[in-house]
Amino acid sequence: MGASILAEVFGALETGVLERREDGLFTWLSGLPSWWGRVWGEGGGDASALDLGGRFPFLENFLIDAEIFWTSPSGCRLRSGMWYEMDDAGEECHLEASAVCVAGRKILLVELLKVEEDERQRLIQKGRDNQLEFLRELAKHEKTEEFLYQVQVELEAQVAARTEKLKAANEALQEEIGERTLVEEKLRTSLEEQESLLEEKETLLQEIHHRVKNNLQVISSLIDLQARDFEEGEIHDLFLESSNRVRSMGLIHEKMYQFQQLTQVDLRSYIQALASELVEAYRIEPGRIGLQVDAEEVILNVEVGIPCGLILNELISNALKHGFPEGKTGTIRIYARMEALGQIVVGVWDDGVGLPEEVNLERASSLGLTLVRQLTRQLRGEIILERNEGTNIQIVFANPDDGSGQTQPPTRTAG
Amino acid sequence: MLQKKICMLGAFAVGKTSLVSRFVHSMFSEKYHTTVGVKIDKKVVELEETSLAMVLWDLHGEDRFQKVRSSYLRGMSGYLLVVDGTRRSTLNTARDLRQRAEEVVGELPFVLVFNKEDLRAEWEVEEEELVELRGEGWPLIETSAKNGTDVEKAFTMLAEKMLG
Repeated sequence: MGASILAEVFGALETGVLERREDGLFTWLSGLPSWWGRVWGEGGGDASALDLGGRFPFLENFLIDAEIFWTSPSGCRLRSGMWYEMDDAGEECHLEASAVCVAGRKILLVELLKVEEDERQRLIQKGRDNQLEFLRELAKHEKTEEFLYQVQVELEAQVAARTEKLKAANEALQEEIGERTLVEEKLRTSLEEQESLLEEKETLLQEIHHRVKNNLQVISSLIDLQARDFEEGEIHDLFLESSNRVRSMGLIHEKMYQFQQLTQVDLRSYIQALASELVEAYRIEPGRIGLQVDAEEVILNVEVGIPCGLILNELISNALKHGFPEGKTGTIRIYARMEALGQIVVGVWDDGVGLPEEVNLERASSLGLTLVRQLTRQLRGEIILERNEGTNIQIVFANPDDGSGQTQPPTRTAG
Repeated sequence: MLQKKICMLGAFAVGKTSLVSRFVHSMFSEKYHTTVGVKIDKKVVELEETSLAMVLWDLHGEDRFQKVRSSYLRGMSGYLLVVDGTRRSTLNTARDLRQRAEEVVGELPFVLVFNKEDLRAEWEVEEEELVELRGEGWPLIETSAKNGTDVEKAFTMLAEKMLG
């Protein structure tokens, strides 16, 4: 009864119980487990004489240890560990054998591991899957780290190379800055020297103009003194005219050293001064002859200024001397302007008695008109005489300093 | 017919089961299915002068969950030490297992198998190291259980060493 129950218990546990015989073969103590036939095949073999070692290499190996255990047992049982066998349907069966020694009898248990072993395998599988995933991630991480390290190394190398280049460029720049500073210093010194020289030159030029003007004034005064030796009359007038001519030249130099540009003269300022001086020189009674200066700002250089000044001296003198005889009253208008194309127009208009009809400017032999003609020619200009509503004599000439580089022929224009 | 016990040794997931499956059944599965315990398979190889029945003991991979029992190694005539080229650590495990095997059964013929040759681009083991190992006398072969490259050759190489 007891053996029957035990056989049922082992059957329920899917465990086969075998006893090792003296000849090394095994015989069943329990009933054949349900799975046995599938694993062993051929109907499960001879139930009373199974050659387990010959059938299952794994057990053959385990039985060597089992023999030792059965001879001198240590512990209650010796486990083989799990092994796989394929059943006749090609399915894997997980088996484990245990050697047990009961009352000197050599017992072998063979179990079919199912639920527990499946769970164990699932856990190991999960653990290993996780470990593989971790290793893969670790490898990726290491590769990324390696890549980043390489990038860092390359970047550091680039930074170092760039720094080296910048350092070299900076040194070159410093050197260049040093050189430029030296050059700038030299230029500044040179500029200061030039400015000093220019200042000196201007001072000298101013001094020269001043001295020339003074000398001309002295000459004019000498002529005036000489004129005193003669009574009022033709000779006296000749001296006076010469004195006025010299003074008009001196006035040019005076206006030049007073003007900001020492080589140029402001014609408007010059005309105003010249006209005043001539009115005074000819002792015109105040209020008898009205003097109008209608001049724009016209700047002339000395080469043009002196002949232009002498011409104006002659024309104003002529008007003062001959335009208003016998205490006649009237107006003299002196004008100067800059026309288009750089032409300069200067002229003297008066509403006096006018030039006699027979006077021809081109052929007049008086010194004054001869001077006007010659000086106009020198300026490459043209003399225009108009007798309508007074007398208007104007000179038109091209300004060589107009910057156009061209000398325009004079064109007739209204006073 | 001669019969020899051969053990497949190596870290877990290096492809021991896949190599046996390719060699014995000409099959390969992409899915990793860990081995718990021992699988035994058998294949007869024809050599120049004899036939040899290779009883292949596919032992579970060595790791912290499972250690290879020394008793499993008993009686073997040679072994394949399998390494996953994409995992450098498996080479160290192979070195340890060789030392363990020699402590248990003495010096036996073996072949160092660098598996997963199809993933060569991802290998962590450099070519220089393979040259170095060959220089140190390690019998070495590169295989791919996935596409079958040199799997037969690896087993034959071991068989010849065992019989030689």
